[in-house]
Amino acid sequence: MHMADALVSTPIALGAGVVATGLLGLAGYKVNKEKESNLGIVSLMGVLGAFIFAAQMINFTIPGTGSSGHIIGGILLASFLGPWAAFLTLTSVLIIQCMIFADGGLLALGCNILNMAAMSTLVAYPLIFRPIVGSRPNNVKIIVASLAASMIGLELGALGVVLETYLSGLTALPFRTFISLMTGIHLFIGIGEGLATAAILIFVVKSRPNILYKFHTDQSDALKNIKNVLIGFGIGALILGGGIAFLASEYPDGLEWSIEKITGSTELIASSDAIAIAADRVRTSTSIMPDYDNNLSGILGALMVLIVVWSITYLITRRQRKNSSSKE
Amino acid sequence: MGKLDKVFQTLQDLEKHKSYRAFPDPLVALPITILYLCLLLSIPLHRVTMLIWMGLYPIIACACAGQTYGKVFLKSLIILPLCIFIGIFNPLYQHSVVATIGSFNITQGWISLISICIRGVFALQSVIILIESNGFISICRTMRRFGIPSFITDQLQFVYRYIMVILKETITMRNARMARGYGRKKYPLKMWSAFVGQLFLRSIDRSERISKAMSARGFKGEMIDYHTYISNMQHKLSFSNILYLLTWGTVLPLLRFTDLSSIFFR
Amino acid sequence: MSHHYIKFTNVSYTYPDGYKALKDIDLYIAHGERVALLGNNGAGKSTLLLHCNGLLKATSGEVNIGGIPVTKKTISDIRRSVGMVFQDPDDQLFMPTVEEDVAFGPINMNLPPKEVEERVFMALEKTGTTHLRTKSPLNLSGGQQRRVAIATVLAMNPSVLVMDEPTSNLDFGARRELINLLKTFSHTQIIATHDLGLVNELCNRVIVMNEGKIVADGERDTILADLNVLQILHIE
Repeated sequence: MHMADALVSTPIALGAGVVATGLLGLAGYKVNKEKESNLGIVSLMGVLGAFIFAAQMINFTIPGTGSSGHIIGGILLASFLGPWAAFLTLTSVLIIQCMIFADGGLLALGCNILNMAAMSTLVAYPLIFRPIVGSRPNNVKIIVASLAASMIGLELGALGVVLETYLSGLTALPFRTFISLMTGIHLFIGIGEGLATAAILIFVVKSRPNILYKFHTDQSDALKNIKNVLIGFGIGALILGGGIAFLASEYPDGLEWSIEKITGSTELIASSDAIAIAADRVRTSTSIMPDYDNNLSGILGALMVLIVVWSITYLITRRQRKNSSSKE
Repeated sequence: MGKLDKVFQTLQDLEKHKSYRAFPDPLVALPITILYLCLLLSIPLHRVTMLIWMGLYPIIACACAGQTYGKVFLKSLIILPLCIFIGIFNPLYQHSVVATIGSFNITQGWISLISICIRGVFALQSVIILIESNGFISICRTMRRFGIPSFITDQLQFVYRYIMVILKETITMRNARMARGYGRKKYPLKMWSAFVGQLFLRSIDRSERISKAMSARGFKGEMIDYHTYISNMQHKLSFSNILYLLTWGTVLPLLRFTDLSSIFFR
Repeated sequence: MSHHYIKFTNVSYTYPDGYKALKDIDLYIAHGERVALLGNNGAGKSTLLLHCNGLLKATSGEVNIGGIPVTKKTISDIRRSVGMVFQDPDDQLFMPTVEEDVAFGPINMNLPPKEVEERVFMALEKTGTTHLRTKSPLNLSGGQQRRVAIATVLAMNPSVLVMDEPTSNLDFGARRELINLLKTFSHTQIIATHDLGLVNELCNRVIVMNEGKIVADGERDTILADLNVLQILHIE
């Protein structure tokens, strides 16, 4: 699910952005190395990026359920490009979707890259798909691997969405409700994605058996990737943790006050879990502050200014547009 | 599959669209847009007036870029369903009454829902204005100038270049199926995998042909940027661009950190 | 530069999946010749063309361009003298704008910026596409794309032009423009085509392929009058 800018607050977005940037940097390094032995990867990434973009617009239905969906394609891309090139490709698609089609927010890009691109290509593919498929794929292995990798990858992505939204402090939806909703839904989406991925892989291998040699089969990469991904997430966790601690210490009084205030209206995680409390502090520090300023005249005044400014600019540009159209 | 045609049309329009005045230079527009987003999205949900004041930027930026704010505004409304979808939980859970208009009690929940919608719409408007007045390729070039490595911008340009090509192929394949009576919006899995699988194979073939074309012209792995290769000339920003940068660079933080509505009640 | 010839000696090529695309090809094309390569689909035309600039490496036999055998070491130089225009311009124009595509070759040759600019200007002028310089290939018509694709190759100053179906998918006007353009070139031209009109106007020599072998090779009028050849090509 693409996260919109509306649902994320700046510190979370920037934090996720930093982690995503780190992973992208790694991906760049890995792909540049691959270019040395395989020049074709440049055009393959470009064209498959365009392909995935198009493929995401064609829905499939799962007979018997009446539900339809589209493929995201992380595992599919990774089977032919390898994890890092696939990560880069899927990221580029996310960026284009965000900028041109407003599918996902610009600031929320970091979150989307982590949730949707990183989880499937950098975690689910090397840790789940590759080991199950092994070096001699057959239909059964492909189906099992696709299902497992897609479900887990999507669940991790859903977890990411929940964490990022919750930490942004914009939703009053209780954490437990939110997370059970998201993980439940994404279990089914994961099954769909797994079946779709397997279906394409099987079709492609059947129509062109020799395409298997393009299957990314470098097993040694899998172990290296695990190390890199863990490093990446370690860094990310440090940054996030540091950020939370920083914020928690900045607003001690306001926080005590506000935690009191919210226990009346929203469900506070009443566990002694230190992380949960700290996370909640981040949430509340950005969302609830003591003084409200929703004075009606203030709101109306601001709206009036906007309308006036808009009218002025409209009149000015109207004349210019008339001039340019008469030039044409 | 109206979506395919709609997307294709959007891309074509984006390509053909010429802004009346591409102002400001993307070198200024990009950082200002990002500054705007950072500031906008850091506003706490209860500060509705501050959120509304932030609407000044899209309106004025639109005018500077030579676009119609009305059109941009309407386009930005597309984000509302998503905002409401997530935000609707807030009124359900936050019941503390915050204000009263006449006999209506406005709860904190409704305030935060409205805030989510406002920030969503304004954020989207700033991105729409950025992309439509500069074009995607120009933004990629600007990203490169800001130091974003070429492997990202090259990939973005490549994907952008071939999306239309692949979409055309997809539409052709879909039309062929429609002629045979299989035109639908959704395909059952087996049919879908044959369709998309076919598209996939064609894409792989195409990438090999492109790779051959690249090698035939001496490609050895590095895509060297033509513009930086040809001119080492520093890109000079005009005075009005610098003015734009400085103005918004100060006004935006001002809008974020002070409450302008205090003008209205003494 | 002006003594570039193309010589195939006993060239065979087998694809990785075992398909034998070329069988014992012997061929000599002298500088300045305009050769049409005819044959039905699957005859091996494209495969043969891809050997001319080393994109495919012969499984056996040797390809020699102007005295230089095509090997890993010589490939860069070979690709400067043998320019290839592919069948689908979309495969050849992969940069965001026309000028970037045309400059791609010269920049990869590490030419100084001034010379790159000169080459770009020259190539655009020669193909009549100077006004398209800053356009995206997405906005070009089929004929314009074809001419820009040729410009991308001309910018490298090749002595040999290898073209795969240059007039396919062009309307009459664009086709006429293209044929007129090709007539102005002094390069050696090897053109795989189904367009007999093009052959008649442009080429003085015809090579016919069938099932990976060369079955006819000679003057255009002689070959095209040969009934056996016409049968092979399913023209009669």
